[in-house]
Amino acid sequence: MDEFDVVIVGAGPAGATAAYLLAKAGLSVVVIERGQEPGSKNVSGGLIYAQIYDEIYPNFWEEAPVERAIAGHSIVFLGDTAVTAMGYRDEATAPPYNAFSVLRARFDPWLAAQAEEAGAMVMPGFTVDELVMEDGRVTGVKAGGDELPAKVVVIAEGTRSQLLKQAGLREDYDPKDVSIGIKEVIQLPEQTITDRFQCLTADEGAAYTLVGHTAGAEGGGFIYTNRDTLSLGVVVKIDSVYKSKRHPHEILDEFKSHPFVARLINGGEVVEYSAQTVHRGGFHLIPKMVGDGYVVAGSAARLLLNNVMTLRGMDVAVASAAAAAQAIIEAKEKDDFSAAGLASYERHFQATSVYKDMQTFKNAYPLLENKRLFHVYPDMVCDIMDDMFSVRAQPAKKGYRALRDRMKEHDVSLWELAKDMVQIGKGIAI
Amino acid sequence: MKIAVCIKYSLDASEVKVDPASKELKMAGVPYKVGVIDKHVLETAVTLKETYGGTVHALTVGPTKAKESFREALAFGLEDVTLIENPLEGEVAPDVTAVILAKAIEKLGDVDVVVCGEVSDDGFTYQVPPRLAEALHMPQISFARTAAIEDGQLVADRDLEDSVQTVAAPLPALISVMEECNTPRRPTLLEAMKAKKKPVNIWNVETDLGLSIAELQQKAALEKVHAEGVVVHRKQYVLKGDDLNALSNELVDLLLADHIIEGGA
Amino acid sequence: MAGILVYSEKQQLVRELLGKARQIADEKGTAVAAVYLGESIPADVAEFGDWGADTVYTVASPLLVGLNPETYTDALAGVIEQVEPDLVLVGATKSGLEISARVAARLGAGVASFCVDFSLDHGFVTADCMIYSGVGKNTYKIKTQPALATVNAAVFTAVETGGVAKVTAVDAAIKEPALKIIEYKEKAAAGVKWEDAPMIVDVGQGMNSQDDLPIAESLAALFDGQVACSRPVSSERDWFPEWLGLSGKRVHADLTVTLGISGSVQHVVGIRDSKTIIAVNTDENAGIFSQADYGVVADLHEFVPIFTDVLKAKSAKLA
Ligand SMILES: Cc1cc2nc3c(=O)[nH]c(=O)nc-3n(C[C@H](O)[C@H](O)[C@H](O)COP(=O)(O)OP(=O)(O)OC[C@H]3O[C@@H](n4cnc5c(N)ncnc54)[C@H](O)[C@@H]3O)c2cc1C
Ligand SMILES: Cc1cc2nc3c(=O)[nH]c(=O)nc-3n(C[C@H](O)[C@H](O)[C@H](O)COP(=O)(O)OP(=O)(O)OC[C@H]3O[C@@H](n4cnc5c(N)ncnc54)[C@H](O)[C@@H]3O)c2cc1C
Ligand SMILES: Nc1ncnc2c1ncn2[C@@H]1O[C@H](COP(=O)(O)O)[C@@H](O)[C@H]1O
Repeated sequence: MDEFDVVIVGAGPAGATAAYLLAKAGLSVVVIERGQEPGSKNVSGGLIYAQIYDEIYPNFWEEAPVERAIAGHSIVFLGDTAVTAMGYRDEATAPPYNAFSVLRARFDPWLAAQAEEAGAMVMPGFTVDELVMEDGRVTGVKAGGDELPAKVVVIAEGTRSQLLKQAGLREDYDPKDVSIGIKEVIQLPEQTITDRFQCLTADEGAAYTLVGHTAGAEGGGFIYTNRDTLSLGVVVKIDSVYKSKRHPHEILDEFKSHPFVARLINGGEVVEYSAQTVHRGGFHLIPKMVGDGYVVAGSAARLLLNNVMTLRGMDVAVASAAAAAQAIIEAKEKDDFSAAGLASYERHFQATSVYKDMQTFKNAYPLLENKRLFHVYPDMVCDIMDDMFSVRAQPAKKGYRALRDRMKEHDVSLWELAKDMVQIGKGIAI
Repeated sequence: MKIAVCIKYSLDASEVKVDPASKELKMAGVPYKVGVIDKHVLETAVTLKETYGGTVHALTVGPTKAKESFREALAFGLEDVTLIENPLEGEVAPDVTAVILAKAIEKLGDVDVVVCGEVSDDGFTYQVPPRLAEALHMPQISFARTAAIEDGQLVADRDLEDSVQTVAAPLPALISVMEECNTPRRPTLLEAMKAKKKPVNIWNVETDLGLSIAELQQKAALEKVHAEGVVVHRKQYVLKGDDLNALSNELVDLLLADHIIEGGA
Repeated sequence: MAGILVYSEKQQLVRELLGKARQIADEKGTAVAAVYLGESIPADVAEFGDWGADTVYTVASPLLVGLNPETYTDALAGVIEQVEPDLVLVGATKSGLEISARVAARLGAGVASFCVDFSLDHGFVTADCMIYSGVGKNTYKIKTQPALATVNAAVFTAVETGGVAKVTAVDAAIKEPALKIIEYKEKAAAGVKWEDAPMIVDVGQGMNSQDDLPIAESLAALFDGQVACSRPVSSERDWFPEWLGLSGKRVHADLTVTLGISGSVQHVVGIRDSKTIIAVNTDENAGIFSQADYGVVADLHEFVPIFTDVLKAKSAKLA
């Protein structure tokens, strides 16, 4: 078998998109995917932000198996029994859409099919066991009992990326930088979902980000509407899961037992359960994205935008893959696949709107460490709301009085609150 | 030697769930794939080819979308796979399948050995191979645990409830194999990549096989009038823990309380 | 003859099929016949009358040996052509599955596979059949005459009627078969019958070694039960001549305890008619737990001996 220009490890959004763009540019490309089918091994909330996909796959929603166009986003603080929510909805969702819910088991095969149509060879059912190295340079991969040489290897194997570490090309992770995502797909009749989430039609959907009620672990939850299922899950810091001594599944159960969540999923049947690690995100975690004979794209490069309100991995993955593809095309023209020849990857990536968003929210990451945000404020906010809306025998309080009393009750000092407000402000507001 | 194998794109019956209230079979999302038995069928055929020389051609009757799933079959080292588009709505009845496969085998021409599985994962009728043998006027070795060619005869061990028989049949002959007959190989990456370039031919029953869809429709002897799931009610009480003594006591107490066993000291 | 014709090489299965056939035939006012095929006809063949047959059709030929599918197909097809029944019930043994399909192909008839119930109405047969390894049940109308149906053991019940059957020899044309039996090895006869055991300990691939079988035997002994197994334990490891499940035996025990069984649909079909099921498996996600009344997540080798002792201690009846 002749040498390929490019071997891509993993047919997730990053791998499939790199394959698509490279094959379209006439390079010979093979994608090796561990799952029996692309998407069969992927865990994701499944909310994709459409902008970058639309650039690469124009009007993809007309053809791709998307579930619902997201018309409403809400952030919900889960108190003990109460909730405080802030919602946004666009009553006239229309192209170009902002976001879609997708089921990866259906969406990833579609992406892979685009790559195949463009001329790439997609090989599901095979795991890349190791990178082949010669003099510190990646020259191919070993998979399925064979060695496959390539001019350049695109490492797009997702978070659990072992290949780079094995080859001595990156350090091990620090567990404090890793979260675990636990997710269920819950089946409900299409109409029930449409009604319960106040969607206008079955083509329209809603996304909830939820904070609080995660059994003592730092993180948040999500509920996204698919056509006749809900994607529901929590993403919590792994070290706090260890500390809580709870099984990840129990954290999900606790989350599901909150009355607000329970009502949304009432009557539904769990048809799928899965768990996977996610990086916490942040620039300082991004490893070297380019080396001799290889590039790293998507969440294998720990690329993720997490600002508490949104978790963006799939559009970041695609943006990085497009930048990597462009760099490889240029390297091919120069016939130089060394680190220097591929160096334009980082530059192209930095020019993307996705990267700019990552920069905008670069100060949001400390928020993910803030215990009060996850364990105190959701309840406290609900209590204050309770003070505002409830009529009781005791005299009512104005906002500030209520706040101070509730702070005392929840053991939050003014200094702490001020510090947290600055953190929130810097992270996501100003 | 020319070998034809019959494989089936089957639904994964273990994924079919039943709604306990309505007894409805929940078929949405149940995956289809090349059947479990078919890997053994392919292994049998390819081993025969490797031992005695020849070519292997796979045949399948099913939906066009099954096309992609036969890459894995091709990677076993077959010459080609031919998908005969299911001419009827829904599942293909075994009587109709056998008629179509017989015609396709005649079209392949000069086939010496036809290899089938004893039973398919989803059809689960055991009917297609014997019906096919009748249609082709071939002897059939069923429930085979081995397969060899000796002196121009197909020789195999036939495994029945009360006996194991070594039987021989003159070629051309049909053999239907059990899961226990071999351990299927795992094609390597390069074999799978080569297989990607091999064709999956698509045949149409009317234009390629000269059969009439109307007549095939007539042939289907069974008409499905109702379908429902089998609901089994179980308590599903699960005990776990590290102390096996405590677990045993807990379980025995439960069995006593529920009158599964009798107590009394 | 209009009515129902019954065939199996297993005599007990013939009796079970006759039991149901007789009941339906009485309701519809039609006849029931059994078929006997063999090298020679045993003297007691008329005894099928005891179990509900009005007639026993026999075919004797030196070619009817070793369950050769070709000669048995010739013989059964010959009987059906002469007798012209509405429905032919064939025992779903391996041989039965094979020749029923061949006969049907030859006569242009339909076969309802793994039938669990049927009715005769207005000249056609309706049959309920197990589908997807027993996950579901389809009802089919069989449009041909004759209609054929294959039926597993222990689906219908034999009923002694004390009737008398007329024995009629049929002259069927049997050709010299192309398939030759070179060697015939009888399998060791299975000892006690699992089907009738009050209690079953069902051993799967989770048991490490044949040397561990006494663990299961001691437990079974408390209940006068039998130790049975899954298909791979029999067909691959060869610990038992038979197995439980779709392609094996079905039990109706009061209590079945599965040890190291994963719970594949094909296996569960064999035990799901048990009154109570206890499952022991190390994998808490094993499918068997949703098919059992009581599940224990534990290593069977460690758990079962302790469990056996506790049973003895707490139940005077078992001790
Ligand atoms: C619970 C959870 C919820 C999330 N929610 C969202 C969300 O709503 N929106 C969003 O945008 N992002 C979300 N993310 C993040 C998002 O899933 C990832 O960032 C995104 O999938 C990254 O894409 P990728 O192509 O880089 O990697 P992946 O999608 O992980 O794909 C990698 C592929 O490589 C394959 N592979 C791995 N190793 C090998 C190997 N050795 N050989 C061959 N193949 C291999 C894998 O099977 C996989 O198909 C979520 C993540 C989690 C865990
Ligand atoms: C057409 C067809 C017909 C079939 N018919 C039948 C049939 O009639 N009968 C049948 O049985 N199968 C049948 N099969 C096979 C069936 O699909 C399964 O492969 C088989 O039943 C699995 O047997 P098992 O549960 O013993 O083994 P496995 O599936 O290998 O399960 C072993 C289990 O033991 C557990 N375990 C391991 N170690 C321990 C320990 N120390 N303590 C406790 N638990 C442990 C494991 O967690 C696992 O769940 C059929 C298959 C097909 C395709
Ligand atoms: N649709 C089909 N296409 C090709 N072969 C089939 C098909 N259905 C059944 N067979 C063959 O017949 C065997 C028994 O299947 P079944 O009669 O459905 O139990 C299978 O293992 C295949 O070899």
